[in-house]
Amino acid sequence: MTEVIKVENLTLRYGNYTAVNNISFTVPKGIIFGYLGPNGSGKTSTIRMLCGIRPPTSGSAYILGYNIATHKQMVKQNIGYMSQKFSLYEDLTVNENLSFFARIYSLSPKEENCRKQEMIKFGQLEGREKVLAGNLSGGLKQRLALGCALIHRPKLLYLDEPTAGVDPLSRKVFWDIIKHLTTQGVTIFLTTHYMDEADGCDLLAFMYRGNMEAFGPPAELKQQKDAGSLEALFIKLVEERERKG
Amino acid sequence: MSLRRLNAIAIKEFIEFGRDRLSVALAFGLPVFLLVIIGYAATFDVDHLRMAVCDMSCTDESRQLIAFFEQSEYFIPVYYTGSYAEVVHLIDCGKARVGMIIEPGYSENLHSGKSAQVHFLIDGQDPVIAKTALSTCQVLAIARSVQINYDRLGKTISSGIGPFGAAYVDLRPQLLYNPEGKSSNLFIPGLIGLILQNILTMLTSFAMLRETERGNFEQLLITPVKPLEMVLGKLIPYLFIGMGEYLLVLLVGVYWFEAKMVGDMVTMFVMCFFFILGSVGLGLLVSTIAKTQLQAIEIVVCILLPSLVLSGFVFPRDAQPGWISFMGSALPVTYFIEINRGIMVKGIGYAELVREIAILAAQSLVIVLLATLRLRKQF
Repeated sequence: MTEVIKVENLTLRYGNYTAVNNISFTVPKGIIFGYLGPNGSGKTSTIRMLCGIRPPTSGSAYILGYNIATHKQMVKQNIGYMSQKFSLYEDLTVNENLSFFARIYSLSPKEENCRKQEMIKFGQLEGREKVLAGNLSGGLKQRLALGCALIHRPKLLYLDEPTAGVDPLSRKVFWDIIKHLTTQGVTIFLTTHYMDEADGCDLLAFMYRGNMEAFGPPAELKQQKDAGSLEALFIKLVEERERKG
Repeated sequence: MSLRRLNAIAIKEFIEFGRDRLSVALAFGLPVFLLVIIGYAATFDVDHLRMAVCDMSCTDESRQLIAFFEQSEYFIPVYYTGSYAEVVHLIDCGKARVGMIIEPGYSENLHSGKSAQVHFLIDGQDPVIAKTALSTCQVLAIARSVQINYDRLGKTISSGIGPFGAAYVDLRPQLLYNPEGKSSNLFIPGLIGLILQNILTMLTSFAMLRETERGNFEQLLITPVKPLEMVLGKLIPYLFIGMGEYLLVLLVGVYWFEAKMVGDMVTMFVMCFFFILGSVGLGLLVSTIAKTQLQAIEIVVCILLPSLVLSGFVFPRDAQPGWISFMGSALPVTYFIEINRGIMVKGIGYAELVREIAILAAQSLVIVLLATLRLRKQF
């Protein structure tokens, strides 16, 4: 099975307001999928549905073959999630944060120890095992949060604006890590407002007012609309949509 | 100073105040609510005390005495029993506040112009009730004696025969449980309840809201954690903390303030488990209503003030009108205080407190259930 995400006519309504309007797409394994769009365009709503937190109003979606409506637990067990807030327990140490998430994902004590070592190495957190997460610098916090999200070896990783408010150097390190993950077969679902990051994705989707306005590899999209940059492309797409009303 | 700037700040403040429904409720709703309930609940004028009667004389005279007490409206005979022990039992389990035991020879003694003994037992756990009952029963006994002698005098004069000498109702009051009338015996058990309820509710709601505020909760939603695991995982540590806290305040109350402790500490611990469960559950419930830790404090204050007034901690519930005391019975702390006082001051156990324990347990379970249901919605 190469389709990690399969979405069919997915719709989410809050009363009269349509947050996500009838979108369909598939994402293959081991790529970086950039999910773009202005604030309030339906990105977070889509993520919430694809994480099994929010049942869709209509349509269906499969994560690694599991239906998000009927196999929530299997979906949750196989995905990782990291947001811009990092969501660490700041009053727990690096070690304790990793242990907590290892146990939440029901890893055995043996696996727990082994993966913790792995994540500490991976996040370059050696020697900081006993430091409180709250006392770490921004870049280290981000890598610890990533470690917590990866400790159960998810096949799909959601990154919700992971580099917002992170310095350029840490952003670069972070992207190297993400790219390395895809070589191990992990699929990345990423939202970002940085166009240079969007350019680095293998596949892009552009959301606007709940509709999916564009879907495809960045180079292809630019070519289609004859736009010099992604920024120009998105402005074009928004203007087109506004004209149609 | 610019009036325009001043205006801007003042208007902004009004708008913000008006949009925060909790602040509006605190500013206008709570004062009215408190005034009304305190206005009715804050009374030390104890009357209509429930009285258990053991009339071993069963004569017109003894029935007259009971009726005389009833007419005073201070004592209402609600139980008629056959033995001294039963009267004590009724007071033990809180069904009666006072007990009257009329000796078998009551009527004969009065007729022969002697003193007729009546035992009067008073529940001493609440000094306010006890003092009122004590003075009232003595006054009533004297008044009745005067009445009897007046009648006898009339009969004697009209018939010209009969024994002289004063017959009188020799009423012997006896305070049960708290003969010294020490108020620390009353306040310490109640204080323990109020302290525990509010601190535990606050701690637990903080623990929940801390996670929400920092985004930890959002992260947990993505993991396979289930609502019940979340609720129990939060409840269990705070149950232990609550039991530890309980032991601490209890020891300080008993050894430092020398509050009476005649009952069994183990019994108390077992019973108070439910109260602690309810308080921790209340914290969870508060956390599902409040959005921030600050709002949680406001809600806890809204619970604390009525608890002070309605639980019987300060104002005896016997003195409150029915609907006020009904409101009080919705609060777990009311039953906790009753149980705690019962064990500490009266030394009673499971048998007498079964009703209170059952209600307290039911209340706590309902609170925890409500919290779980509300939390489930957030998942």
